[in-house]
Amino acid sequence: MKGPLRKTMTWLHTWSSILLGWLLFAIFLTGTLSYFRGEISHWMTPEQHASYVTDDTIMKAYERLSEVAPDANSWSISLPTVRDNTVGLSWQNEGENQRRRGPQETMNAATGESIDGRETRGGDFLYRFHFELYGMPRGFARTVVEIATMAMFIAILSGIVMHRKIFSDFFMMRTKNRSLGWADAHAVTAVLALPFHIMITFSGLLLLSSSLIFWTENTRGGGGGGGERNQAQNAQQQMAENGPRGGQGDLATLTANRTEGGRMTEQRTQGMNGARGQDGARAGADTSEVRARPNRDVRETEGERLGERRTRGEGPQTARHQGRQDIATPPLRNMLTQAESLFAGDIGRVQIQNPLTADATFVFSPVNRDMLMVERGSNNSVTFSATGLEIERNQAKASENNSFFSAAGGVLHTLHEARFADAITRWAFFLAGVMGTIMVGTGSVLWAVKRAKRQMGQFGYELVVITNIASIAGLCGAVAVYFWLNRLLPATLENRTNWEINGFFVAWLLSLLHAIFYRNKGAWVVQLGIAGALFCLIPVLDTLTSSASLLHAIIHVDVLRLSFDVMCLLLGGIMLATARYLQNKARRVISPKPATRKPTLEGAVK
Amino acid sequence: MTALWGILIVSFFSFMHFAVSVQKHHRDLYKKMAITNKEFRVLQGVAWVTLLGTLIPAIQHWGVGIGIMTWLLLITVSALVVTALVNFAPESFAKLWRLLGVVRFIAPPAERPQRTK
Repeated sequence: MKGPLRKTMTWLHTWSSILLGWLLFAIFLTGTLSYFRGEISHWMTPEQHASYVTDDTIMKAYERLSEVAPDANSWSISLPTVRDNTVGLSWQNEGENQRRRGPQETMNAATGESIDGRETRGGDFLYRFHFELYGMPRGFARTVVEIATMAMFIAILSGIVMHRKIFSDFFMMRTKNRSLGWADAHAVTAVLALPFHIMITFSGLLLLSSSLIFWTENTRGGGGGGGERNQAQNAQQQMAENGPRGGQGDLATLTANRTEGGRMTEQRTQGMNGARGQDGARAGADTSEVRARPNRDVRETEGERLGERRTRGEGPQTARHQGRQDIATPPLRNMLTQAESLFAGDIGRVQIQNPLTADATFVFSPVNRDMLMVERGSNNSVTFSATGLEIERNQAKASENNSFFSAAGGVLHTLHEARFADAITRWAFFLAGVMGTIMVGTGSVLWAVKRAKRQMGQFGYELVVITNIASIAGLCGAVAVYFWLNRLLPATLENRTNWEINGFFVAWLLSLLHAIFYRNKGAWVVQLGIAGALFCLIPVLDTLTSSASLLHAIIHVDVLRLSFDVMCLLLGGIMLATARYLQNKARRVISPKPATRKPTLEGAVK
Repeated sequence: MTALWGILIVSFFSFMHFAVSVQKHHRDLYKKMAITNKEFRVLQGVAWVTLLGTLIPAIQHWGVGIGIMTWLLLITVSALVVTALVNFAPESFAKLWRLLGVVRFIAPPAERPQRTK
């Protein structure tokens, strides 16, 4: 029984993985990089690098908002967190669609100036590529990725069965041998990180499971379970496209707006009208001309008027402000300290309703990353009045009407994306992801190495060799080119985002052409060498082309940026080491020297 | 932070014992000596106990759900380091083993030939 079973499993393992191995490599590599999605996006907008948190940050944000949006109904401030070092400001004007995001801007947390970042997809491009590839209908691409994931799952299970000596080969790497080196690298990376591989593949399989259901219309595009899930996911997608800023925060805002919307809007409208009434005769003359026009126009005209006044140097005095001259600045720093001690953690978002009035409310919500179960729509928050008194406190527990399946799905989702992870856990996930990537890559190489003697020159074999080179070494190079282009293309270039992404694919295509012509003449070494060198030089590029030098990053502990640079050094190091190993091996094959005696441990322990 | 480094170091220690309990690596280390049954049992015992011991601080620190996953990832890192040492820096591994491998005193290989200098 054992022999035939093992043989069957080997067959299954080989063929289920070689067909989709190249796609899986791309999925693994981009997915692994996506653990640092925030870091990548941060690195790719160097304009933000000069920003760092100070005690005054929240006051600066408040001042900035009273300058740019004195008339808004509500303000929202995303404070800098571990995953983001700038301040996000957004506001909603009266009558605007509550579900759409209003105007927004990014602010330097140290100086309070607005940051005009370059146009880039940042880490989101790699993140989307991870499960939707590029330039394909979304539903189709997800189905393809789901099928590849299934092949991966089959490969993992059959791999466990076919691996004869899991325990005795646990620590073994025989790099000197021709094919055993690849086999050992494949097995070691697979076995050591096996729990991670199983978890990541299984959760990935479930996350995209609805992409295999063809018979309902509304699940076609989404990746989640039911309709509710889809809605949440769509909101997240919108988030992902809009920028890396805290996904859950926005979900919370969305729900909050939906539930409170009616009541709040009513109040606000009254408040606004009152304030505007008090604006008095001076404004009356201007507005009377336009009163006949629809509301929207009134607002626009007023906006222009305000803008003019501001440019004339009269400061942010607005209609509302003039009515209530003596609004004291709220004790935001005290509120922040209180909220932080209440939730024992960082505050991610401050929502201000009716700003600059006496009945303003300040809602502080924490960043909730520390839970494995992130309940959708639950928002812990504490509300203060304009004078700094606590009005309301919301400490939501896990909602009880969650079904078992959606709860399990939530856990797997959180695990898959490592949302709860702090810096160290994130690095551990990243390392495990790198091991997975190496496992997939070496697996594909192994297929070719094992057949090299018998099938050299045959079409199928050569095709696999070319695709191996282009999809493994080529993709590494393409990612490096993507990062380099981000810094080298002029910041104001038109269609900048497209240039970056096109550069990525052009580099990939070039590597394919190179692989076709030089596949047996060291294409591996050349391509991996170039990719590795590009990755290793990224810190140099970083310090030369950013708004703040690397020294600045070290002084102000810009963890995001430093992590990115360290990550690039690590990846570059792995690529260069592999290139060197391949070069030595090629040299050995061409001119076999008498084998040098391997240093052994003999007698090392007395 | 202490929990983290504690887990990394202790699991490194236990993976060293796992590695030595493998016949092949044992031979590398002890001059072609085959591993005795008793020694194997002690090595494995020490390795399992210390490895599972590191699960406790992980769960205390991160809770059951995240704790187990983080623990698995962290011990993966130490296993990777042990693998790298055993294969690419055997001399340093031997040195570390002489320092840390308490099992040598509990179950010394029976008739190990003394190395004369």
